[in-house]
Amino acid sequence: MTADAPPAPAPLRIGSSLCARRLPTGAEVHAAAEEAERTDRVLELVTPPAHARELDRILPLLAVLTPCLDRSVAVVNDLGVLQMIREEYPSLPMVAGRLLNHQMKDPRLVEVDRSRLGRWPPGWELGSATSPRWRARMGELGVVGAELDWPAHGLDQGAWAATGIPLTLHLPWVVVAWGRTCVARDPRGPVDRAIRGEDCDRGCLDGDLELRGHGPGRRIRRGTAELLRLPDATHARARRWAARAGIRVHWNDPEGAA
Amino acid sequence: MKLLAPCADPAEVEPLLRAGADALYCGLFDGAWLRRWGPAAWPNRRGPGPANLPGEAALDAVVEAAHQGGATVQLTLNAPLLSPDQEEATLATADDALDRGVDALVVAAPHLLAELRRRHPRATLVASSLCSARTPPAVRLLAELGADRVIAPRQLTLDEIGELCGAAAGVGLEAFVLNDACAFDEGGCATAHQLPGHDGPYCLASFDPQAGAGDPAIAAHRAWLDALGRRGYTPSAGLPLGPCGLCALPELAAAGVEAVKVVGREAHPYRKVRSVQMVRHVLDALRDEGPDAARTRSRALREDPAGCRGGLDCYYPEVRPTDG
Repeated sequence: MTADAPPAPAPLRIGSSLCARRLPTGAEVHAAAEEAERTDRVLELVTPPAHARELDRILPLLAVLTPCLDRSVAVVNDLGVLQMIREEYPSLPMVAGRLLNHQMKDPRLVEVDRSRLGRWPPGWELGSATSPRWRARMGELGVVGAELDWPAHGLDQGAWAATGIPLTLHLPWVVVAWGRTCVARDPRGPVDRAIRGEDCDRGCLDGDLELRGHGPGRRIRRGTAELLRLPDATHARARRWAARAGIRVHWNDPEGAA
Repeated sequence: MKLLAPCADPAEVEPLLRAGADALYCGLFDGAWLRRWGPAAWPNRRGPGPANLPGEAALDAVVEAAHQGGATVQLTLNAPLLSPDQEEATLATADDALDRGVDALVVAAPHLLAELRRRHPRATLVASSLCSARTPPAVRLLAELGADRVIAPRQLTLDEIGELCGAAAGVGLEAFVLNDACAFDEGGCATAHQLPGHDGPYCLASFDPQAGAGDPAIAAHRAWLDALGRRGYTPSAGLPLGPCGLCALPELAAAGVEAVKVVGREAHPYRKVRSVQMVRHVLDALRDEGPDAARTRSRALREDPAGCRGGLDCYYPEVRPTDG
């Protein structure tokens, strides 16, 4: 890109990284693909962790992308989804979502007395994607980029900027933990009821469960995930770093944290 | 079906094997790692202290005692996240452990799995539950990267575990059967289990007691979290009463699961031995008397019929008893 070239338009993003309940229909993906083409944008289909039934829901959505694989990207948060794309749509580029790009994001880390640790563990400010071995191996598998959160305790900004792959920084909501068992269902109930979108009559849209403190920022439990909303000052710092480093920011929301 | 037991001390080997373990798994947190990165950077899923062996001498002793008893030893190298220099140290530890006679390595990072396969074509490599192999395609990918075995995540159903068995030629499956469980998928967790100044895992400590009050589903979820945080023993027999999949052993065996795993490297030796005895007791019943006897024995062992019916402690609640 030359200095005079206009910035690439932001990708059109559809899907969910956290819950199959929030996956779009095939018709919605089709409409998004048409919109992406009309506006000359890349279409990003975001996929959640997937069990067998969710693979069955994701596969038809990938089929919708067939006419526009050259301008589409799949964000994957599950090795099974990654492999399914390799097997079925090998030309579709993938980005490692925040559940595949592991980071330490415990909100309590901002409260830890660093002097008691001897040394601040370097891994806590890194992630899978800062490993050259990880990037090489995942690149062989078709993964061309990664998504990341800004933990409340911060990042090793130099290490992330040096990855050399396209990164997308999610702000202001951070995924702290993800689990199959949705907070809105009885864990002893039939496991397929809440994970099959068509059978989920509660969903996570009824509201958030506010969680206790531990450092700055708001913490909620919603659906399958615990999420942290960065405090404004941290959020602003993260945005400044992303701008300096040329890293794309995705403004997420707890709805899908997509 | 083999029985895998946690081990964190050479002195535990003989009692665990006598109790019925076929194989052991252990972790290593040695002085060099501790000096270089401190107590908060872990080489596996557990920190320094009772969960891990303190050095190579202890590892040698475990391997020697296990082999003398006819058992194999797995070494866990399953930290979900390592810095590049920690990766190099982990690979060196793996190289050294295989030289010392360790029989298998448990790995969480797919890229390290592939690197270890490149370095050690004949080693037995186990993909940790942190790989989150939820579906047959995930097992095929891990097999391609070098896994000989895959540990099923705790949140899978028995049917889903059955689908994973045989998903890739030559890849065996391990499943959890007793003790710890978690509210979240291990591979989806970005928290630290133990932090200076904090007690317990974040997911259990963070709930406000009033959150979701009055909502039946959330109340059930809260009850489940409380059950996960419980670590008790039955008063009469002194047996562990934590999360349990004993009565699903017939289904796991029928599905083709190669090994079942008792969780808890950090646990007191008594808890480990009693846990192994429980699983062995049910496995023997399954072998000698069949599935119904195995289920009957498993429920009798727990002496908690209401708890078994309630299902909060079940790894596999789909087979919990529903009758009185």
